[in-house]
Amino acid sequence: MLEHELKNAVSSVKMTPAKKEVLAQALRQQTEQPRRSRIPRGFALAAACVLVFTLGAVGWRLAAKKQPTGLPTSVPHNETDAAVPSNGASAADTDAALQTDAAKQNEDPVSGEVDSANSPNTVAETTAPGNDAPTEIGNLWNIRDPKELENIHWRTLVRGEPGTDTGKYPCPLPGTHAYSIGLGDALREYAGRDDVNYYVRIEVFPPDGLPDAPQAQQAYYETLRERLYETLSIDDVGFEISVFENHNTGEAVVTFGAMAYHAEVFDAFPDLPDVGLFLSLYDEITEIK
Amino acid sequence: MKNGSDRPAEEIERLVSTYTDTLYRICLTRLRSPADAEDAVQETFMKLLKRQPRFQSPEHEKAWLIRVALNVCTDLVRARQRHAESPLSDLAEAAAQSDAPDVMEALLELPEAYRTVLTLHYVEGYTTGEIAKIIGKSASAVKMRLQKGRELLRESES
Repeated sequence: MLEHELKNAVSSVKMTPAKKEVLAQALRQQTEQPRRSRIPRGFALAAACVLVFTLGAVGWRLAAKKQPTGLPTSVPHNETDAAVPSNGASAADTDAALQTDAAKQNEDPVSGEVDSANSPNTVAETTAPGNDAPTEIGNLWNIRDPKELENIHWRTLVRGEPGTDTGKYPCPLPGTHAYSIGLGDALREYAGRDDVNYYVRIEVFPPDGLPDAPQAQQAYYETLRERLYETLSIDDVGFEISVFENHNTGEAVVTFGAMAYHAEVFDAFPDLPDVGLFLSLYDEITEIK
Repeated sequence: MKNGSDRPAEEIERLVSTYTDTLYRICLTRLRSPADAEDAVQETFMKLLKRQPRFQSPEHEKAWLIRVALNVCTDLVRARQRHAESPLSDLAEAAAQSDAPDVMEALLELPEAYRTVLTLHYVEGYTTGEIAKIIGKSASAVKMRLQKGRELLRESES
């Protein structure tokens, strides 16, 4: 009875015809906005070649001038563009989530065009080297095996390093506890783009050892893993999460919107009495447009 | 199945006539604000028109739109939180759009997780498995939400 009432109540909600017409008109206007004039492909190719040659020559000369001083000042990385809407993570996610297994084998819902270019990485180093193929965003959200993440190019935004100060949040020394990480602060400082996927990796470890220390106390790690899972499994639409069976590691691929929405949850995470923890935050080099 | 990118006007007419009410209901349930729901629907259609994804079937297209709409809603909610001066949801106005405003209001007063799942299941007729794919949760989680949502609705009725 209740369900029937609910169905009737919600089904009766409709947009008025006048508003539908306004909506259609707005969509028409937005889609009919003048596009860039098309340049003949051959001409564009020739111009691109000339440009690349010119830039290359200039760069070569600059490099030759700088060479005596020593090391290069930046680390190059590849950037790729994929044709996905601005809320692309969501859209791509949707495609991936909605396809059947059989369809996944036959269809490439998010085939991104690759526009490779070397550019200086002013943020940090390039991580997860390996496959140079463009990331298939559509399948990103189906990842359940951490090894699959290795095929994606992630750029480090924030990283805590055991015993060092190189990251925004250095790892606590062995024996310290309740290391406070504010993912919300990290987001505000380093993230902030809706059109980029972010990859969060949180590792917890007992105070008597670093993350790669021998995992002797299986039960203890199991407790940590459960706590990590509870923390990362945010119960809300749009927040896709993958928590792997690495005992002390939680990993998530999320959008900025989803993370910002739940940042307060992450901020509250370190309330573990005797656990060290550090966070890595990456953005995906493959930007979604 | 491919969208009619060569005929955008006809494509827009088709989208608006076919999916507007469904998306509007879902967005209204999620956002509890008619104005925000209208914006979310428009944004969702724009994403489809810009991207022009290929769909295997009309059901696939509909589910895609619903998922994108829900994510657009999430972004809107976040924007609200970021800009405190933005108007909050107008629950009464949203409920008044229904023929049974009391029931609608009871639904809108539920936590977000239950509202969406209840709407998708009881109004749009999706199974728990289909909802799980749409919202990216496990089927068991969807069942739990449905159960809890029903309980909360009954409590609000009594």
